[in-house]
Amino acid sequence: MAVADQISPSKSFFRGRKFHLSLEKQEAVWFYIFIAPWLIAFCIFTLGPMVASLYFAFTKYNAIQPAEWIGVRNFISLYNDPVFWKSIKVTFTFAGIFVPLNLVISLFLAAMLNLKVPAMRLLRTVYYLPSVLPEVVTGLVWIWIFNPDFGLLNYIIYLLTGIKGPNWLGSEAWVMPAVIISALWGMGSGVIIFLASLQGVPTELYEAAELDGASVFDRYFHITIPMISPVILFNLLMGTIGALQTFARIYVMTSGGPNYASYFYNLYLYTNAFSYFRLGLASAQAWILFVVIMALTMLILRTSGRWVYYAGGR
Amino acid sequence: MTAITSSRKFVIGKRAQSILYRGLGLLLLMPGLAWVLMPTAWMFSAAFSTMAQVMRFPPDLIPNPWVWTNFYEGFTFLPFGRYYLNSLYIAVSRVILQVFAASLTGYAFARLRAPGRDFLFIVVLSTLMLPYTVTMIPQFVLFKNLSWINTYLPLIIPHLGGSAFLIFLFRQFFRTIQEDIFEAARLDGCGYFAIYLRILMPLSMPVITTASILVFQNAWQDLIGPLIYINSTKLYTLPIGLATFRSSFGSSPWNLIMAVSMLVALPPIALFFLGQRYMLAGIVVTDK
Amino acid sequence: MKLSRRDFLKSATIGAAGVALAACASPTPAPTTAPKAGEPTKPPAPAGPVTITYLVRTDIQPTLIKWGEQTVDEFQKKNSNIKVEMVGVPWGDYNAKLLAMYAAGTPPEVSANYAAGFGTFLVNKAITNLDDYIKADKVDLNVLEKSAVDSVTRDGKLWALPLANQPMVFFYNKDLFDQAGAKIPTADWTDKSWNHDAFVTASKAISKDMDDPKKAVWGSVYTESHFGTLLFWRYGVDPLNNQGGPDKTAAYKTGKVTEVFFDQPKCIEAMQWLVDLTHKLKVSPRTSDTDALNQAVGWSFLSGRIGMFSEGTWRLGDIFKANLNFKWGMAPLPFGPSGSNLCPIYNDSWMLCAKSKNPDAGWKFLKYVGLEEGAKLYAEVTGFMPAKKDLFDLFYDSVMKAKGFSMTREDMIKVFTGGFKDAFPTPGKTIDRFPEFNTAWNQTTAPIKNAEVKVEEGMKAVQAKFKSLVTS
Repeated sequence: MAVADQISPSKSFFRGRKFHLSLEKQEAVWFYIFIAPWLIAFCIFTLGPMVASLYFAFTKYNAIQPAEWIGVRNFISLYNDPVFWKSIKVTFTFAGIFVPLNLVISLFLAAMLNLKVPAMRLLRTVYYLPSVLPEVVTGLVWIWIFNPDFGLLNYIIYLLTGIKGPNWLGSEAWVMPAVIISALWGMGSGVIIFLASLQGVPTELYEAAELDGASVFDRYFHITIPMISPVILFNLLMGTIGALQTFARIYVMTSGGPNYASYFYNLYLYTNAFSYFRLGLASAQAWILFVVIMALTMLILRTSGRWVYYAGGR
Repeated sequence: MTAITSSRKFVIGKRAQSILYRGLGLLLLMPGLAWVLMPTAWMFSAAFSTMAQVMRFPPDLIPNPWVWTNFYEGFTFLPFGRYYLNSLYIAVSRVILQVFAASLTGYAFARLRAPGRDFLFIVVLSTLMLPYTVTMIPQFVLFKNLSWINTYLPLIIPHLGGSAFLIFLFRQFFRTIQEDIFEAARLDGCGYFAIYLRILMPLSMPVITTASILVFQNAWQDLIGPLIYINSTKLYTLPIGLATFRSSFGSSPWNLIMAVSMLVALPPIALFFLGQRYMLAGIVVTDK
Repeated sequence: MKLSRRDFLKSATIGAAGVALAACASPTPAPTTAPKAGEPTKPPAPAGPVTITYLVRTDIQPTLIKWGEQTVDEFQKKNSNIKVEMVGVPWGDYNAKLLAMYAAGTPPEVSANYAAGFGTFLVNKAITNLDDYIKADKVDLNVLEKSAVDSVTRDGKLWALPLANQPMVFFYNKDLFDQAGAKIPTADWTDKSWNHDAFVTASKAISKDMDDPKKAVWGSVYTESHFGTLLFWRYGVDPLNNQGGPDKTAAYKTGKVTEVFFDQPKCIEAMQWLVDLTHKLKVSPRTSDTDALNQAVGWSFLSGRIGMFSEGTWRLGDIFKANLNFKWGMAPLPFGPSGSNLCPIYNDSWMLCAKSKNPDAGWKFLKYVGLEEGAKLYAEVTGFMPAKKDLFDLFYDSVMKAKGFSMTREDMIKVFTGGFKDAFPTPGKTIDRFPEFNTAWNQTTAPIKNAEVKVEEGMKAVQAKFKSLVTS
C-alpha cells in the first residue's frame, strides 16, 4: 500500500536522522500520517465497491446471476431512453433553482439567527427542528400542506389573494415549485455551518469598519461575506452535489409523478436497481452522474479562486 | 468598545440602530418560524390525540381530549428502549471517530503541503459523487466476506477515516485561520500534531460542535445502513423501529407514531440546544 | 428464531475458516459445528441444525409479524433440526436487501414478498421451481383455491406457493347508505341490476358537502386496479389484446407482454367514465384528496367519509384493527356496460429462492405455513383470505367478529365465493416486468385523472409509453 511507503521515512525521522529530511519533506510525511486513517479506510471500504460498480456499468447484472459483460450497451440504451433525459432535465432544473436560492436563504437565516437577542437559543432550536423530524412525519405533512382543496398553502394563498391555488403535487407544472418549497423548509445543515463560520470573523474588522462609518450592509457584504467565503464555497459544492442526488424526499412525496414531472435522476436510478433488477444499468447511470458532478466540481473549484478568500493561504 | 468613549450622541444613535436591526431581524424570522413550526405543531398535537381525532381531515390542531398514554403505549409497543440504546451507541461512536479523523485529515489538507495533496483532495470529494445505491451491494458483499453482517461494525468502522463531507468542512474552516498563528507556533518549536492539538482544536470549537451535531443527526436518522446490515431485531435502531411501526398499507397508529417520533427526535434536539454554547463560542482570533 | 450473539460468533468463525457462508451451517463439516449426539450420521445430510432465513415485509400488518413469530416458534418445535431466522424489511427496501443477500451468495431460503408477482423474480432466475417438491411430498394442489394456483403457474409449472388469495370487492359504509336512503348493494355476483348505472346512482345519493373540507362525504372511490384492468374488463376489453377480455391475452399465460392497446375505443370510453366520476359527476374525490386521506388513515375508506371503495379483501386486516365507528359491508363489483363483472384476483405467494443454501429445509417451512398448521393461524389472525379451501370457515369466523360488520354470514360467503367463480388473476401477479408497466401506468395516467388532458389524447400517450416499453 502506498501509505506504508510514505510512512517509512518517518521512522527514520524518529531515529534521529531528521537532518536528512528537509522541512518540506517532513511536512509531506506528516501530511500522509495525518490522512492515513482516511486513506486506509478509503482503500479498504470505498475504493473496491466503487471499482466494482464501474465494472457493473459495463455489464448486465441483477445481483442474482453473475454479471455479463456487454460493453457500452447500458450507455447506449440510456442515450435512447426518453425517461433518462427527462430525469436529467428535472434534476438540473431543480438544482439550478434550489442551490442558489438555498444558499442565499441560508446565509440570510444564519445572519438573523446570529443576532444577540433574548431567547435566540430557543429560536434557533425551533428552526433546527425540521432537520430531525422523522421522514414519515414530514412526508405526511407535505402531502397535507400541498393538498389543493384543503391544504394549508392554498388556504393562505386564498386568504392573501382570493385566488384558488393550484393542485401542487398533482400537476405537472406545479410539482417542481412544490418540491423546491419543501426542500427549502427549515434549517438544513447549511445554516448551521454558516452560523458556525460567522463566529470566526475577527471582531476587530467590524470595529474598524464601524469607526469608518460603514453601514450594517456594507459590513455584511465587505467583511462577513469575504471572510466566510471558504464556507460559502463548501455549502455551494455540497449543496450542488446533494441537489443532484435528491432522492428520499421525492420517494416519499411524489414518487416522481405526475407524468414524470418530478422523476429525479436518483429516483430512476434506484428504481432501475431495485424495482427492475437492473443493477448494471443503474451503475452506468451512477457513473454518468459521477462524471457530471466531477466536472461541475472542478469547474467550481477552479473558478473559486476569484471569489474565495483564504486568510490562511496555502 | 472603542466607540463608546468617542462621542455620547454617536453612541445613542449606534445603540438605537443596533436595536432597530435586531428587532427587524427578529421580525423577519417570524414568518419562517410559523412555517417551520406548523408540522411540528401538528406532530405535537397528534401525539396527544386519540386515533379517531388524528384521522380527522383536515387535521385539528387542539387535542380533545388530551391523551397522555400515547407515549407509554407507543414506547412499549416495540422495544424502543433497546433501540434507543442501540442508536445511541452507534451515533456516539461515530461522532467520536469521525470528528477526530476528519479534523486531522482536514487539517492536513488545509495546512500541510505534500506532493499529491490536491489530487488526493479530489479523491476525497469524489467519494461523495457516486450514488450509494450502486456501491451498496458491493459493500455488502465485502462485509459479508468479513463476516460483519448483523453487527454494528459496517455502520461504524468505515467511518474510521472520517467522511468526505467533514474533511472538506474542516479544511475550509481551517483555511480561514490566519497563517501567522501557525508560523509563530512553529517558531516556538511546536510539531505539526502539537499545533493541531494545542492551537487548532481550541480555536475550532464552533466547527467541531457543528460537525458533531451533523454526524450525530446523520447517524441518528440513518435507515438504509442498519436495514441492510442488521438482521436481528435485538440490534435494531430507532429508524428501523419507526419504519416497522408504520404500516404502509394499513391504518397507521399515527398518534402512537407521533408520540414515539417526538421521543426519538429529543436527543438531537437536546444536543443542538446545548451545543449552541460551543458552536457560537465566538473565539476571537487576534494577531495582536 | 433469531441469531444469538454466540451463534453469530460461531458463524463468524465459520466464515473466517474460509467457508463462504456465514449464517448457515454447511454440509461440509466446519470446525466449530459439532454434530449433535444421537443423530444418524448420513454423510450428505447436514451435520448440525440447519438455519434458514425467511425474508418478510414488516410494514403490512402488525398481526402478520406476530403471526410469523408464533409460527416460526411452533415450526421449530416440530423441526428441531431447523432454525428459522425471520428477517424483516419495510417494503421500500425489500428488494435492496434481497438483492444484497443474493449478491453475497446468501439469499434467504424463503421470500415472502407481498404485492410482487413471481414473474419478475422468475425472469431474473431468482426463484426455484416447486414441482419436484410437490411430487416428492405428494402434495395435492386441489386443496388450494384454483385461481390462486393458476396465478403462480406458468407452462404447467408451479413457481410459488400461494398463502392468501383475495378477490376485489366494493367495501361500503352502511351508515352513509342509510343516511342517504340509498339501496344497499346486493351480495349476489349474478345480480345484473348491480351495474355501473346503479353504482353512479348510489354514489350521487351519498355525496354531500363537497365544498366543506370538514364535512365532505364522497360517494365512491373506484380504483381501476393494475393498469386499468378492473375497469376495462367491465367494458369487455383488455389493454393487452384487441380481441376481447383477458382470456384472449397471451401475455397472462406466457408472462411476456408483446402488444398493447390502450388507445382502443373501449378503453378510452372506460377512462372517460372514470374521470367523469370525479370531474363531471363529482361523486369521487380527486387523487390528491385520496392520497391525503390515505396518508392520514392508511386507507381513506376508514375515515368514514367514503361511501364505497373498490379494494382487495386484504383490506380486512386494516378494518380488523381500525376500531371503526360505522357499520360496513362488502359488495360484488358492479356489472359494466359489456355485461361483465369479471373479478381480478390478487394472490400473495411465497417463493423459494434460487441458490439458497438449504432449499429443502426452506421448502419444509414453506409447506408448513402454506399447507399445514401454519396456514391455520394465518387464516385466523391476519385478515387475509387463505388460499387453502378448508380454512375458509376459520377466516369467515374472523370476519364475522370484526367491529361494525353488518352482513349475514351467508351473504358474506356469497361475496367471497361469487368473486372466485368469474375470476381472473390480476396482471400484476402474472406478467413479467410488472413493476415497469405499473410505474408507466401511474405516471402517464396522472394528467388524465387530473383532467389536464382530454382522455383520448391522454390514452394515446399511455399507449405510446407502453409501446416503447414493450419494444425495448
